[in-house]
Amino acid sequence: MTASRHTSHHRRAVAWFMTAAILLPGAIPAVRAASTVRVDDSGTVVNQPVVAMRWRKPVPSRAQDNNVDAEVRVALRLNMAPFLNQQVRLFMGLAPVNADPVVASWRTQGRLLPGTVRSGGRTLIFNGIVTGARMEETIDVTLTTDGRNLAGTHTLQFYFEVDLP
Amino acid sequence: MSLVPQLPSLRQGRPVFTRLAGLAIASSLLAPAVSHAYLIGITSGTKSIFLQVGTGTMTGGTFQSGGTPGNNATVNTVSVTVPVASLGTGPLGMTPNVIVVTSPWDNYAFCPYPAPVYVGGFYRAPSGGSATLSVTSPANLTSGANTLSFNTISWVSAGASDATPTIPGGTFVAGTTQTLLTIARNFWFESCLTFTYANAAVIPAGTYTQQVVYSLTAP
Repeated sequence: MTASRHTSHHRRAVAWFMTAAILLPGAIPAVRAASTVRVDDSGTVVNQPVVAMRWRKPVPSRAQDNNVDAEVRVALRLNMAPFLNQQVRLFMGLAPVNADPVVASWRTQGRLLPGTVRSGGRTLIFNGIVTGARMEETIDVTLTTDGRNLAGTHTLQFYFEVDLP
Repeated sequence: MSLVPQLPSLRQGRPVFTRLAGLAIASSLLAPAVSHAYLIGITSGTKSIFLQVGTGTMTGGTFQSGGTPGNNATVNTVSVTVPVASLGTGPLGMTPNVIVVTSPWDNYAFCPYPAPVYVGGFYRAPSGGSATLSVTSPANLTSGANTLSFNTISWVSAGASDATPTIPGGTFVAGTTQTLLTIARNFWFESCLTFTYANAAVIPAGTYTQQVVYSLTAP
């Protein structure tokens, strides 16, 4: 093997490696996008951007109920245009939090499903054919977590994603 | 972005993949700025602290049923009358002027007869350390010019159904502040203190009085 061939072969190996390195981050969303797609919810309005959690039991009890909770109303505006006339399974998810788990339960007006989601998870909120480019619903969300370790302010990140068949 | 200059060399190795990689980078750079999440900020529960020594005020029921505590400035008295024949003959139990038998938490008959002094409270907090229960006593009880050291008074602690007393028994260390109990966050504590006068010496006749102060402090 000559020095030039060795160099060429080496270049090719590097090229392979770098190709894989570049493609991987792009390939994962591409594969995922075929089955799960994030939904644009930029029109959504939260009536209180920051809510104060309240002790469910203001006084510590022997039963040790140390949960704190709060309620917040959210006007959902989802851009469903990419899924128009398609059968979809729509989920509301809550990103993991850097604290004790947070549970969000919500009531709806009937257009979407009520449910509960724990941080790091997602829950089905619609299953059917999308008939309009915009999906709107007002939900009342109750947030609950263990108040003993909730110091300062935390941001909860809710998102929507669609599983396509 | 820093990978872009590498693309020409990649193009030689795998042209098709290179184009795909180029597309992936381009699409991420040109992605529309749409929101894929709505945000809700949550803040911690508020801090609160409560201490009841002897008489307390509670409106709207017990703590358990949602009652609200109020400030109560009453200073209860614990006393003993020593008959002349008993002077210096050994410990005598002291009696509070107000009997608080039930716990404000749930009205449970926590401090049974002979009615010691109820001490209870809590420290509610989302974070941080614990609270400290302490008592500060003056050096002496006084009767005119006569004095009686506070270390002649001690207490035992109990509570109905308590396997071990929450506040340990002890004796006043005259003229100091003593730590009685460290109270973890978010726990209710309560004890019933029964006081005893040592009655170990013959002292001049008189009414000896003085006041101690119980404090619950939190960071």
